[in-house]
Amino acid sequence: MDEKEKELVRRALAGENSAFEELALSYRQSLLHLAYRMTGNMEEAMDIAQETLLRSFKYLHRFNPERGFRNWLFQIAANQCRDFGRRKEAEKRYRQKISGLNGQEINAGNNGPGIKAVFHEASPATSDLKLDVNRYLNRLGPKERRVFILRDLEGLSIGETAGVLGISSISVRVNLSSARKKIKQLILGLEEGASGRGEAK
Amino acid sequence: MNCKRVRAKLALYISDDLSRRWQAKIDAHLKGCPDCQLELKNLKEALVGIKEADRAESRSLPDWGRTRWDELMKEISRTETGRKGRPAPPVEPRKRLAYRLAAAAGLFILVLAGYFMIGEFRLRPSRPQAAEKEAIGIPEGSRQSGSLPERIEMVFRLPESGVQVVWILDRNFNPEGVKK
Repeated sequence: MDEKEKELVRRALAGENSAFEELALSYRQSLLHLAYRMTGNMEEAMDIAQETLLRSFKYLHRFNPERGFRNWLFQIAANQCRDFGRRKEAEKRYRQKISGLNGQEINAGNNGPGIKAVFHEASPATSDLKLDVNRYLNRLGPKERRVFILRDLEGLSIGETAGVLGISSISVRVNLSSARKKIKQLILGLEEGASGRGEAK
Repeated sequence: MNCKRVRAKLALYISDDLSRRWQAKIDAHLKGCPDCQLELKNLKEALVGIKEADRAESRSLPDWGRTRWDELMKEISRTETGRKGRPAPPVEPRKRLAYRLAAAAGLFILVLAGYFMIGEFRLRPSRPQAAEKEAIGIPEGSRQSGSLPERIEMVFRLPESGVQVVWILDRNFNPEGVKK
């Protein structure tokens, strides 16, 4: 963490809100990007990014300057995303249970988990964006996804990724390896499929 | 090293996330294996492709928007940092020294009390009862109150034969000699 950041943190702790705003401004887009990749939905990502900045301000006194502000923000955001995912999953199960009791099926059009399901889940805000990357990310397991985003898309080291997610370096390596293999298979598979169709025509 | 083992590690080899030993082994294998070279190439292309797609999408991500950002900053200005959940303030150095001295004094008193209690039991000589004194034959002259005699004579008699054995010991129970 550079001296300028340390100074901004010190001033923010002393009650200077403009110092915190300056600190947050430099990371606001990378924070939003991380939340968007983790959730796959822009509205949810925006909520998570806001909550992350609020929490980081509230608990700024607990921040260890040796760790770096960006990694600390990412850690809060990753925890938020994980909690958000759990709540969403519980809500989904509850709705399915209710719909089952009423004799209706909410997801009658979905044919199991797959790329099409991702488009159904996307909100109108995200449907305007290109969804290619999220389509691939949605095929990964939750831990693989978090590790891949932090290591490959955000460019953190193995150790930093482990620190942000609160897991061991070995776990990061294992999940990163399987995530990369899946991404490769998916991209090559889709390309081969596409080229195969092209040749058939 | 076979291709299967190499391919299992290519996903980490690509970003230098393996140990030096493994990196060197895979380097050596790749030099002579076109199939694994192709596998590595495909993996690299896939990862480069997804990273480029991510960068392209990121450029089109919406910004926070001035209104939303200002609202957040207003909310932050209403939040008090560090007031809730702040850890207990550190103890003043002078008070800390006083606590340490008090703890040391308490410990010293305990040790001292323990020493005297144990010493009392250990140092006090066990005083034999009158019958025991008679049985072991402590001479009258050597009976001194509060301390052991210089010489101790222990006499064992066998009632059947009348044979008696006398052990003469010093006050540390070391035998000086055996008589009779």
